[in-house]
Amino acid sequence: MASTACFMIVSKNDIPIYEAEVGTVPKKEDAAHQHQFILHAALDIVQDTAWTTSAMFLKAIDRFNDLVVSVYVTAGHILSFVMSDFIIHTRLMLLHDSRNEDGIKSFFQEVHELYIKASSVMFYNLI
Amino acid sequence: MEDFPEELRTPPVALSCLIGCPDVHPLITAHLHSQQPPINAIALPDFSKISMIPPKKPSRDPSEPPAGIIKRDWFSKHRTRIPAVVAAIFSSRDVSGDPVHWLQVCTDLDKLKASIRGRNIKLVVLVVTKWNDKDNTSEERILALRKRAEIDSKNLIIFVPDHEPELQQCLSRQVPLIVPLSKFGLWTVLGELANTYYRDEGRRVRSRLEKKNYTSMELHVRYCFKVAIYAEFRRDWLEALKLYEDAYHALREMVGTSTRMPPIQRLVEIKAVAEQLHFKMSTLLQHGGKVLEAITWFRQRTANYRKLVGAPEVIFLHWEWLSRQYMVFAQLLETSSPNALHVPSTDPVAEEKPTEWEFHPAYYYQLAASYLKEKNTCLEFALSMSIDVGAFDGSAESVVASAYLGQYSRLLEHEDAFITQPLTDMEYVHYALAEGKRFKDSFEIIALLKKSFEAYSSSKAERTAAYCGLQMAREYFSLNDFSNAKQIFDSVANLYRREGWLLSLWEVLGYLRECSKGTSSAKDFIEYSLEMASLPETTGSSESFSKDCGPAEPATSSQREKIHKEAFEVARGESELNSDEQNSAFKVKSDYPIYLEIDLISPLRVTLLALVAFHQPMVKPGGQSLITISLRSQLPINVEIDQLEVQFNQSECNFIITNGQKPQISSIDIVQPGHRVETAPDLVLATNKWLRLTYDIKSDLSGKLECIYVIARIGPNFTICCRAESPALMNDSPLWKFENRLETIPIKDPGLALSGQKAIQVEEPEPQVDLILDSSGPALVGESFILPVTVASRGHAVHSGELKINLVDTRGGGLLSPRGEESFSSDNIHVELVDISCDAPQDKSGAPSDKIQKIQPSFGLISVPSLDMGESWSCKLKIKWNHPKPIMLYVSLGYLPQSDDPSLQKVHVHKSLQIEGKIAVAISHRYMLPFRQDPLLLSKLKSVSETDQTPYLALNEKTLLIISVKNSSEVPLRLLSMSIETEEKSVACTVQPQQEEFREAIVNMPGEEFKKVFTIIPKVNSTKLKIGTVSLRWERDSNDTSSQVTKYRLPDVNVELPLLAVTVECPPHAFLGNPFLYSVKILNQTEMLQEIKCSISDSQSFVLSGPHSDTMLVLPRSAQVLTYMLVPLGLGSLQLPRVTVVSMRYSAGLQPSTASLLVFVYPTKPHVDLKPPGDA
Repeated sequence: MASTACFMIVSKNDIPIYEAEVGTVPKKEDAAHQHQFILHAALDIVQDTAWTTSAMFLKAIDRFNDLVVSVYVTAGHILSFVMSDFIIHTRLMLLHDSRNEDGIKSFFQEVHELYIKASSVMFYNLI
Repeated sequence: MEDFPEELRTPPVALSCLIGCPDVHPLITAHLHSQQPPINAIALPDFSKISMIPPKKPSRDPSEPPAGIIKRDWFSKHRTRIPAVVAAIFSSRDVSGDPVHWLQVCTDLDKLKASIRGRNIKLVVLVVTKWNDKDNTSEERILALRKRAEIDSKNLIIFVPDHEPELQQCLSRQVPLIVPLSKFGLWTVLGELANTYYRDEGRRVRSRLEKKNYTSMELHVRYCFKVAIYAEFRRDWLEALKLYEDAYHALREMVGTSTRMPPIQRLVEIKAVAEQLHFKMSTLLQHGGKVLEAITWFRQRTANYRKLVGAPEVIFLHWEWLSRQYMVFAQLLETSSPNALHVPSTDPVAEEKPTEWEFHPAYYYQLAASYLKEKNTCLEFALSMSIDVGAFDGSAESVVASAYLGQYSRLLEHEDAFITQPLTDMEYVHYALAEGKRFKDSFEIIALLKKSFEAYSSSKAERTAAYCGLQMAREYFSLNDFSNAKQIFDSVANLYRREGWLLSLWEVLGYLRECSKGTSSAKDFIEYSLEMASLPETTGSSESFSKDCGPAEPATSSQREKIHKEAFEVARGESELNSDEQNSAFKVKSDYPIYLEIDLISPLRVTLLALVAFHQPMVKPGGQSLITISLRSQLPINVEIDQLEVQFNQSECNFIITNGQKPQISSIDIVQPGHRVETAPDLVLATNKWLRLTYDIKSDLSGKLECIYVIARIGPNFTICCRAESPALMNDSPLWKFENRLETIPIKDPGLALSGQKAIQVEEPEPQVDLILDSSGPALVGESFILPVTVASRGHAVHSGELKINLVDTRGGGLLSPRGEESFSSDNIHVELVDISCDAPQDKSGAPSDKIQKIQPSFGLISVPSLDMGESWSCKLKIKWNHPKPIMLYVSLGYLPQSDDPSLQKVHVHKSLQIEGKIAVAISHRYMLPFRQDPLLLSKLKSVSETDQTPYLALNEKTLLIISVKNSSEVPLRLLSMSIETEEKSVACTVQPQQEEFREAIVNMPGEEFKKVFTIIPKVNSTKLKIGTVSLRWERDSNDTSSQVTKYRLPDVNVELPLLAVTVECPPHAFLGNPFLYSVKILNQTEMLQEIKCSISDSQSFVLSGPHSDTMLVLPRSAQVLTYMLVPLGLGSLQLPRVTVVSMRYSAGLQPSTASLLVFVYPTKPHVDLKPPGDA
């Protein structure tokens, strides 16, 4: 099934550090350029909700018509002692229209794992 | 929400009708309105108006398909025209009066019955009577009336309007009235009958639904709607909701199945009905406090309908409809009771749980606006596609809403009558387009977004608010309202800039750039263009964001380069700034130069960043230092600078760097002639590459030399003024933080790149003047310490010299004593600067007017006269120590080496000196008894306490006072005089001598002790007798100081009358073998007989005659003398036999001290005349 999705990684100081259109259809023409705006606006809810729950996966936290924003918040306060400042409280945000919740969750987990690996490369130099 | 008719917006109210006796109508209607639930009433004055109630129409032919779903006026008809119950009101006079009147009553009643029977309307009969007449009402007639009306007895009410208690009972109370004909009050009866009516009607329609004896879905929807409305009349909300729900689903199924009407109009009709059903359901849910359900249902329903866009030419109608749904829902959410608005954020509700924002009206307002915007876009498209809209314009007025909800028809005038004619889809599309053309939605969109924006802002959701703001600003932009648009775009851009959301920022900047074109602001245009051109590249931007990125167009590198070129063309004055909308053009020229300022927080820092680093941290005045200016730009194309100016806080150091490639341009543009001009081989800024320029710099002025600005001039009228930054403090832009680019250091020397500063310290010139503080050792408390300060010129002349003196406590405790903070007197100041005396100015002119002298206890300022080279000048500081305290004296001299150049900086010489303040003399005292005399003081014997150190003196007896003066300073002192100033009258005690001026000053060397003996005879028997204060006048053993007085207060003494006094008498010396007398005199000063035991010990050195041990009685106030004759047997200093005297009464014994019992025995009488001269 064709779907639209926009994926972003947002650093702890709200700066986007990675962005990709990951849907199977390249774009829904009119809304495509709005994805950044929608994801950016959703940060408001993320920052409120992230501290009220221990869950890392915040599903369907914001909605814009058919599009839904799901977020995966990395556990910054746990990792901060071990990892570099770079990975603290990073948010993986996905704007999607599919309702495949499990798929989205596992996508997030996979990306999170890769992200930690990529960010930890610098430690190899220390060992 | 206001677009909906009144009957939809308000909860349904049962309708009744009052006929006859119009004078009681106001009373009854007012009462019915005041009850809960209220009942509306149609008031008909007499029975001839019965026809006002619409008669029942003949039933519909079942074979004929329905013309529409719901009649537009069906609901309002039931709200305002068809009553559920009719109250026929008759006067009791007519009922009980003559047969003519009674006959009329019967006729009216029959007519009424006939007219309401068809609609099954319920009937109530009211007989109005007067309180006085109530007993005259004929019961028979009443009974006959009830039978004729065919109503229950409770539905006939005797109405007594002129008696308050009866009236109240009659109107509302459920108690029998004056006659048992009626059991219930009017409101209750009417309400009950109305309920019955609506229930019956509902059942009637419901039975059709249940039988399903119809073929079209329209009827199903219609019946559901009617039953729901009847249920609402009965306040059965649950059933109403259920039936609305049924209707809604049936309606949804109709889409695409019904073929009754042309497809476009059919969809319009379905949506119009859906809208009403939708509104009803949302209202019921929200007013019932079920906000969560309302929100969930709303989302599901709108999701169902969102895809029903309809025919391409009228898609705009769909978006308008959808926008209205959201707006109405937001209004309902806003007006529903706040108590019902609870946000169950943590409850796990299904997977379709509403998000946090879905509980806020702002969310729906925002979406309403976005759909309305969508409508506008589609409408514009549809208008552009249809060419013959104008042709239909004239006839658009003849299109009216037809009898059925959501249907339109054409009204035609035919032979003095109006007939309606159905529209074809084509005609309807034309009509809709013409209507759409008439209204501008932009202001409505802005109003909706503003509401949303304000709500989000007040919830501190600045990002969501920014998105609303962006949409609002776009709308202003589309209206060519550039100033409003710019204001909002600016604030939105700030947020995106701060958080580094590039594509969003790019789009907003694109709009801002167009706004600045619209307002003909070349400066803004250039600023925004440069910022856009300097933004980092985004991956994949060319593909994903190819459409609708606003006027900025896609954020590709070619677009960036295009913007860069445009900006510089305008800045150089090569092209004009054209505004399409305003038809105006603006060109940068010498009258309108462009001056951009880039500071630390400017977004243009990425366009031009200027780092300045001095190579040394300090430099001597006149010495040279290297300075490196590093410039970097992220602009996509190389920029050639014509001229650079580097500005410092010391303007003499400013210099200009010209571009070697463009000498002819540089030469004309030097702002201040006389300034240093350097030429660089080229001044080209390449993308993300540092342009490093290193030059010498020299400053003659001491202090801080700081680079303030680096000003780049490009073309004759374009200047970029960039605030200089230190490499050590450089922050990278958040936009470029995570970009994949080559990071280079601004200065080749990596150390300097990390620690370089844009400021340097220029040292002060070496002073050529000596400042000499002559210290003559420690200062002594009490004296005015003189400290000479000498200013001696070695190599500089001294002009406008100023000498600053500061006294500072070495230990940091302050020079005031703790208790003296408030009262600022000399006693409280430990050390103070008393005076500064200086020599007369040595220069002849010596104008005294410019002489400054300012003295405060711890600070002094004095001007130094002009001194030529080699001259010197001195002054004396007079500092007084009130308490011993070490202080630090800071003296600083500031002067100008040359008098003719006031712009020069002063040279400073600093000196400091620690001075101890010491106590000069330590005075102590001691009391002694006269030789070989011992008075018996009882109190002294009793006072065993160690703490009580108060000395005891014998009354009227002579006591010796020895004052010791010890020089505790380090310099010899001369003691000039000593005196004891008695505090009380001399009657209390006698002091001898009172004052003594030393004939020759006694020189007291450091550590030496000087003693002076005074005699005191206390005259008053008292405790705590104040003896007085010792005053010692002294001076330093050098002639240049004045004498000081040190005071010492003698502690209080106790004075007591001695009871006994023992005096041992013997000659001061004796001769070997020569007898002498040794007597002990015991004086009894009491009024009692004293028993005294006296004994004497033997001594080898003497032969003794007299009693060895004896007890004797001494009479009151008399003396007893014990005499011994002693013959010395040895030579030298011999110990006399020890005498012990014991007073039996006081158990006190006296043994004279060993020292007092010494006598010197000569072998023979010496050949010196021991007698005093007068004895001969």
